[in-house]
Amino acid sequence: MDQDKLKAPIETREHSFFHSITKKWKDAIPIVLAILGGIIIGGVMMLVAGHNPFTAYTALLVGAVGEPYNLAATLGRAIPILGCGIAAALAFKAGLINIGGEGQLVLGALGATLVALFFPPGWFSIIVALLVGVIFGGFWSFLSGFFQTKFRVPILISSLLMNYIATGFVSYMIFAHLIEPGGSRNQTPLFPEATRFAKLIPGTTVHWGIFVVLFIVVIVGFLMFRSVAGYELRMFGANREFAEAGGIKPKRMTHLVMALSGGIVGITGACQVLGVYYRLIDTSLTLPGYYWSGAMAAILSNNNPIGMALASIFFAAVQTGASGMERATEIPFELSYVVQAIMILLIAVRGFLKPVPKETL
Amino acid sequence: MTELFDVTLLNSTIRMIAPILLAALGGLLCERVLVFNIILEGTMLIGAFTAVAVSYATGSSVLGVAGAALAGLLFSLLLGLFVVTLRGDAIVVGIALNMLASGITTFLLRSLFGVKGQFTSPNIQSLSTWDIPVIKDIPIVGEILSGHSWVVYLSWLLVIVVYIFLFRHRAGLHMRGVGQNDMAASTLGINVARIRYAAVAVCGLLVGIAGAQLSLGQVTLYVENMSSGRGWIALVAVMLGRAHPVGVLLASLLFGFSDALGYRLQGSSLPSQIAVIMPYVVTLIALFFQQSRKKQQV
Repeated sequence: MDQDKLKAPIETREHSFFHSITKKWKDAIPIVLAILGGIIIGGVMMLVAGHNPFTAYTALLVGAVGEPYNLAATLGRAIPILGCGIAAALAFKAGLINIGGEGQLVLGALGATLVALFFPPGWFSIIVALLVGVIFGGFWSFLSGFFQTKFRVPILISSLLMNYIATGFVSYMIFAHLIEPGGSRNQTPLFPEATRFAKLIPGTTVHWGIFVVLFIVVIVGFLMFRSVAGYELRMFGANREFAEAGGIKPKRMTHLVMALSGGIVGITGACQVLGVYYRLIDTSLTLPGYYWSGAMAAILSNNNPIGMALASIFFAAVQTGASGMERATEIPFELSYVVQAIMILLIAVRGFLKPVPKETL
Repeated sequence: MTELFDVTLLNSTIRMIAPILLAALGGLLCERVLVFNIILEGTMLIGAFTAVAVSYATGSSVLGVAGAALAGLLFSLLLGLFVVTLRGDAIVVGIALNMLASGITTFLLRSLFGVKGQFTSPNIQSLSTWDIPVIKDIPIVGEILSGHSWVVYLSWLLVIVVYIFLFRHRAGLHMRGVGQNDMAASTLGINVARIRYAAVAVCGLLVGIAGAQLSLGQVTLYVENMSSGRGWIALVAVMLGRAHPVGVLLASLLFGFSDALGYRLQGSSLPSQIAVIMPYVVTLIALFFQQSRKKQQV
């Protein structure tokens, strides 16, 4: 998302192997300020609504990490946000605004569901389900990239419109073909027990899929910052003309990054149905806004994988904490989304706070 | 097929056009001054919510529309603040503001009315409808054109107003100047930031009214995230119509029709889940044609 053309060389130097630790800490200052700002404005909103912000924030903290169960709930919620976040960071870093994650998420989940329901139960089916999740999500996202290279339809717009198409389609597939017989909700039957991720912590939402997601985060982190392909990707995002002059094929890069980004979102959706619900429930993946939280985590951390992981866990904690806060104080849970959005607004203007660098190159 | 294309379909098309048209008219003002406004969606949602809340509290739908316009304007000014003044990335700010709109309306829905999902009450007054004299007595035409909410007629009037403003008025000329070359405009003594703020403010006002038509004109209730992509479709209408009021009107006609057709098909030949995706498919396809044609011209 850096549109400053002259920034490219700095961008790459910033992440070079030897860059100083102090620089890293300086980068963190606006993030900390944005988080504090969000917390303060959220507190003011609580005051206006007639609640004591200190009581409410204490309840939020307890709800997020205060008890082992709450901590596990936070971790469980962080899994899909993390998967979506790394996918968003990958696309954003290449300058491709993939905001079609919700569609990719439900399609990935649909792919995994088809395999889980119709393949013989077992670990083999889990692997196939994950792969089909990648293909479904990846293909949908690739289409969005293809529409940009072929028809010059901006990814920003096509990916968003395609969310509605995908969620409608998946909703239809459940309703017309996969619905649980005799059930009253729009959901599929449960998957066979052998085609489920085991719980990592029994009685919670933390399942083995977390390792799939963590593995992807590490791989993408390495790809982005320690490989030639990653260098090309960052160059492509920082300065497209420069990258093209350097021999990077823009069409191929766009297709590849979009497919990869959507594939990661797809596998995240697959993990969610295989590890948490054991079935595909209509709107269960879109209502909690996983992709949007992931995208916000990517923006907050400036698309840095480690920072993104921390931001994902932070947002997950705010959300589960807000559920606890709602139970304790009756402040609606949705305040957490408001606070998140305010943090992103504040981080968006960090360039304004930063003094203009003396040397441009 | 003959049963499909009847008077009711055209009548509901007219109704469906209004929110998209109003939002697109707002969007084109921003486009003209080079403010990339992707918060039409969020602004519309804010408008829809405020309209219902004010109409419920005061019992007046006119005040509901006024409230929606004001709320849309204020929300839109946030875009001005963060993008024009504080120079934030328009896409990042846009994503955040859309999230903010979605979060805050749901938050308020629950704190003010204590409900989740949707809010409906006999106290909410819907927009009054107008029967146009003479036209209403003409068979068929009268059935299609007459009897809509006054906001629908306002939206048509605004197409003319925006056209005259842009091409016949001094401030409109300044606006187009800023859009074509902001440096040059600035050298000529035009306050570029002020023009941008004005465009963003008027845009918010129009999109807020669009939201009111959604929640008080089309129906008389508020549903969480009820704008459901119409703000984005309006943004596409701006692109398709090349930020020209007449072009935007034509694009809105297309999308309004596909919206109405989608609802219509729900009842008959198509399952509802497939029917609702109709407007988005039409929007995408329309973009393919327009954007590739643009390429040939270049």
